[in-house]
Amino acid sequence: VTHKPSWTAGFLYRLSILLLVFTAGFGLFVVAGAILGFGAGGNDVAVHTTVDADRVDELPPGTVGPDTFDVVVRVRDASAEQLRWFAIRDLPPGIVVIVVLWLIRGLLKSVRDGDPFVARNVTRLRILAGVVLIGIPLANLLTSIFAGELAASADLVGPPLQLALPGNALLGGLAILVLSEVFAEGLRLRADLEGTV
Amino acid sequence: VGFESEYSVTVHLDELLEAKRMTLAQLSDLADITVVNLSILKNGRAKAIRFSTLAALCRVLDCQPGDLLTWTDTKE
Repeated sequence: VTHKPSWTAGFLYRLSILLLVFTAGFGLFVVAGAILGFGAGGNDVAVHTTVDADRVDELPPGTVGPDTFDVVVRVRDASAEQLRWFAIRDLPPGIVVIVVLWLIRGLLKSVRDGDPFVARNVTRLRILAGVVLIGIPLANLLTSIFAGELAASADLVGPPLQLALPGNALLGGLAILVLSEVFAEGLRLRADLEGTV
Repeated sequence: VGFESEYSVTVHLDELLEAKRMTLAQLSDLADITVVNLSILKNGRAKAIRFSTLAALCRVLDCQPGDLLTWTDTKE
């Protein structure tokens, strides 16, 4: 390294660690809640469900809306099973966020150390693209499945399964994939440069 | 016989140095090329050579690029 790392790189690296610790802590709290079912008999849970449009009163005349509406029902004194599903429902997105933050932390560390064009970062970016392209839709699907189980445990109809690739995830994943190829090319150029006398 | 690189190009630096009775350090001083770079070249670890490096070596060793580098077809 021939230069001092930028202040921004150092700041972002520390911020990524802070977010990672915060998210991991929250994830542990969720897992503990799922395993122990803590607070049973005294806690409320928010259950996502749908109701038919004809059951919704006082819509303005001429309203053109969907056949069903997504609503949240608050279940008071939830059972241990309901608390467990409630906790598990938020796990998949949490895991995705932790993996993404971990990869970003590694990338930022290499930038801070002044050596980002390494093979490891190409791998990190490819994994990051995979998480965004596959992990996010998968997490959404699992969350909708768990939300359905939670709703069923409260004798309610759960939200529909989410089997779609969000547009922003598709664009973001492709952009990261392109960036990983740029890094791979940078790595090849660096190897050539280092082998030039 | 020099060290052959991964591209089947052989650098005959050792023979030319011997013929001129010169050491690597002396060549480094005269050609203004670091000993590290000369070692990379001598041991066949170089991936490319700049015209400026080639010209400096030819000037000091009083040779042509063809005397310094040879290519062998390893496919045969």
